Order: sequence, then C-alpha cells, then structure tokens
Amino acid sequence: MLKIDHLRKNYGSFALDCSLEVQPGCITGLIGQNGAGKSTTFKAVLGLISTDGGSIRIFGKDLKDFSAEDKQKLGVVLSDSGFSGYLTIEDIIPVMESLYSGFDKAFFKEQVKRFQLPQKKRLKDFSTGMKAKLKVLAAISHNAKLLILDEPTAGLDVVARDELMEMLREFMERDEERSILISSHISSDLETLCDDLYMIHEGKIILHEDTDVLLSDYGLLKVDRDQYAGLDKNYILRKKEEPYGYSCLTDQKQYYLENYPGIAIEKGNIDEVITMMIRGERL
Amino acid sequence: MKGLLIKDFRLMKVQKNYFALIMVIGIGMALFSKNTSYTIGFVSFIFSLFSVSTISYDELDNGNAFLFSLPIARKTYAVEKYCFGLIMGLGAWLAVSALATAAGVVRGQGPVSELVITAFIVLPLVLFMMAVMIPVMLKFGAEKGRIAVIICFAVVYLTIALLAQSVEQWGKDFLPLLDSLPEIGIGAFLMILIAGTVLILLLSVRISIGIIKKKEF
Repeated sequence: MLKIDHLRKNYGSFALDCSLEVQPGCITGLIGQNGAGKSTTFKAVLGLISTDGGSIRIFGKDLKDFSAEDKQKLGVVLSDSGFSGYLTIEDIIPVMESLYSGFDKAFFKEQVKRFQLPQKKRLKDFSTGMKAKLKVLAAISHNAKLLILDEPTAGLDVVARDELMEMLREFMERDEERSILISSHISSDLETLCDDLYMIHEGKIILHEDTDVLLSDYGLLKVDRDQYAGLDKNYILRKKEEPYGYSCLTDQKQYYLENYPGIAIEKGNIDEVITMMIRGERL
Repeated sequence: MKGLLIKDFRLMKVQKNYFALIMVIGIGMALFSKNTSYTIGFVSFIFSLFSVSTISYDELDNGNAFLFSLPIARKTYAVEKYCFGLIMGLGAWLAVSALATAAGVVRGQGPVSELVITAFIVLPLVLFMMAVMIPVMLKFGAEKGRIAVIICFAVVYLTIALLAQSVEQWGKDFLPLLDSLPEIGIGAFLMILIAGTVLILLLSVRISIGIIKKKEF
C-alpha cells in the first residue's frame, strides 16, 4: 500500500531518515513525541514538501508519478490543517462531490447527523471534537483505499476519541483491502487500533513491532543491583537506573518469567516501551 | 477545477456585505459619475481582486497543506485562480461597462462608440493588474504579498508617470494621439492592446504555476 524507504529531509539541525511500510488491510501506527518527525513524514508522503532523498511508493507507484487522480484513493487528516474555517458543512458537500468521483454523499450526510455536526455553522466555530470528527468523516466518505491520519485524536476527550476510533474500525470493516497509517502521541489510541507500530524518535525509526507482540512479549524487569548482576542480558533492549536498582526493557518477557521467578516483571505497555527506548541506555 | 471554483464562490459568501457594498457603489458610479473609465476600472478591478483574497483565505490557518492533499494538481490550483479572477473581473467589467455606457448615452455624454472604446481601454488594465497580483500573492503570501503588491503598483505607476512625462516633454500628448487614429485604427490598436495583455496574462499563469509547484506546505 505504502512503502517509505530511507526518506530523508533536513531542517537545520533536524534530520529525518524514515523507512516504514503499510500492508494492505492493516492499520499501522506511527508513534513519537512532538517534533519527532511524524508530521514531516506525512507531509512528504502527501507531496507537500520536497525531500532530500529516499523513495516513497503509494499503491506501487512512485510519489513523483502520483497524480491528482491517484489522490482520489487517499483520505487525509492533518493535525494542523483542514478545510477553510470560513466554510460550512453545506459548503463542503458540493466541493467534495466535484473533487471525488467516489464521494458518498448519503453516507456523509448520515454521519453528519449521527455525530450532530451543525451544517450551517462555520467550521472555525466548531468545537475541537466536532472539527476532528468532520476531518475524519471527510477522509472516509469517498471510498479511499488508504487513510493517512496525522494526529486525528489530538486534543480530544476520551468519549470523542472512542467515537473516532469507532469510525475508523467501521471504515476498515467495509473493505478488507483498505489500510490506514495513523500517528498519535497518545499510545492507548494506537494500542487498541493498530496491527503494527513504528516508533519514531529524533527523525529515526527506533522500533517496529506487531502490536500483539509488543503487548505480549515486551516487559519491564524491576531488579535491584544484585539481581541485575546475575541477569542474562541477551534479551535486554534498554536499561535505566532507578532508586531501587535498574528497570530493564525486554522483548522476551516469557524467558525471564520462567528463568527468574524471583524478580518483578511488569507487562509492557506502549508508553513504557517508548520511554525506555528513548530514555533508556543501550547495553 | 470545478471543486475549487465552488470553494472560492462559497468563500466569497464570507465577504457578501463587502460584495454588496461594492455593487451598490459600482451601480451608483456607473449611473451618476461622468468619469466612465474610472468607474469601469475601479469596479472591475475590485471584483477581480476577490480572486486574490481567496488566496489569503486558502492559506489561513495553514489551510493549504490540506488543500493540496486533496485530489488537486498544483497547476490546476494556479489556473483556477485566474479563471476565478476572470469570471469575477470580466463579469463585473461587462455589467458595469454596459451600465455606464447606457448612462453615458442617456446623459448625452458623447457617441456610444467613444464610451465603448473607453471600456475596452480599461479592460487590458484590469487584466494586467490581475497578471501582476496573482503571482505576487502566490509567491509572498497574504502578509508579505500586500506589501509586495503595493511596491509592484508603485513601480508600475511611476513607470507610467515617467513615460507620460517624457511623452509630454516630447510635446506629444498621448490622448490626442489616440484621437488622431482613424476609427478602424483605434479598433486595431485595441486589439493589439488586448492581445498584448492576454499574452502577459498567459506569461503570468506560467510564472504562477512555477511558483506553486515549488511551494512547500
């Protein structure tokens, strides 16, 4: 669906070097701190910025040959951009209708009603939640094959986030070939939604893992100094000093559970894995 | 293209009070002002400016990033701004010219042909302004664009003023020169003038496409 190979972009001291792949039928998450390079990657994929190297292929086509016609198959949400705030939903409908041959007006209107979005109000007067829902709605209403969603849940409360996730799940259920690339800095959103996850830090991908594996096999070992000394460190990815000794990130939780029954092992969650990957020290 | 035009017409709703005001002023000027060329020039120019103002609306709140992720070629975007400007400018020019000419005839303000010629002399001027403003706005954006536009017009104005002065110094007044052209000659002169402006406009489109293709959002 989407293949990014060593995409490079330099902004002063920031250097992006990103490779990732989105498979058909999959939801792939891109997770990282603010300024890690998520938006830059998205903008490069959308052809909004020039790049300094590497390649991007969408639907097997090089980005350089990707035409406006091809963009019909993309649905896009950008965190810091959208339709002009001076337009209303009523204004957007005919625009979408003439831009996208696959625009499903009935579906769009039905969803506008479902989420109680005001039709005659200017978008700039929408609440954050309404804006976010409309953005996602616009992305999923024209039979896109690939959604590119940059921080679609930014600034939303839990309920609104759940509703958005629900919209995306329904979108995926309607066609098995559809894919989504989604970024967020809220890991719990991605944990429940994504098939696989990429972590980006300072412009580099530091981890790529299936979400299932991440949740089942990754773990945090909390050990004192003596326990640490006797530990098999082959499967430790990162360690960090703590007041009690060390916390260690492993991708083989089961191994330590079986062989070191005495030590405390916590189930990995995405936030902890990220924190350890970024702050922790390599062995 | 159609989607963009719809968007721009919808965006104009925001300025509907301003739009109505200009219409009223335009109609008033067309009916009551004896300065026909000024009336036609002013009204058509203001209307073609709506195209430039949609460029500012597009870039507000980083809107361009999303706009260019829609299935729109960058080239189409640039061309659409000219189409929109032409629809507005030519529409206004046609309406105000007809009205001003009719009012002029009623007032007995010279023969119809002279009034029509006035309208056609103003047209290239309006097109020329559009040819300057659109690429400048696309290049510099709304904020810096405004300053750039003022500088552009100051340069154009000064050039014309200097030219006029030097023509005067040579003892040749420009308008009598026009008057001295035979009727058919004026027709040909206008054709050349308009053809020249259209060429400038096409060149401007090319420049704008170049600008928009290089832009990053």
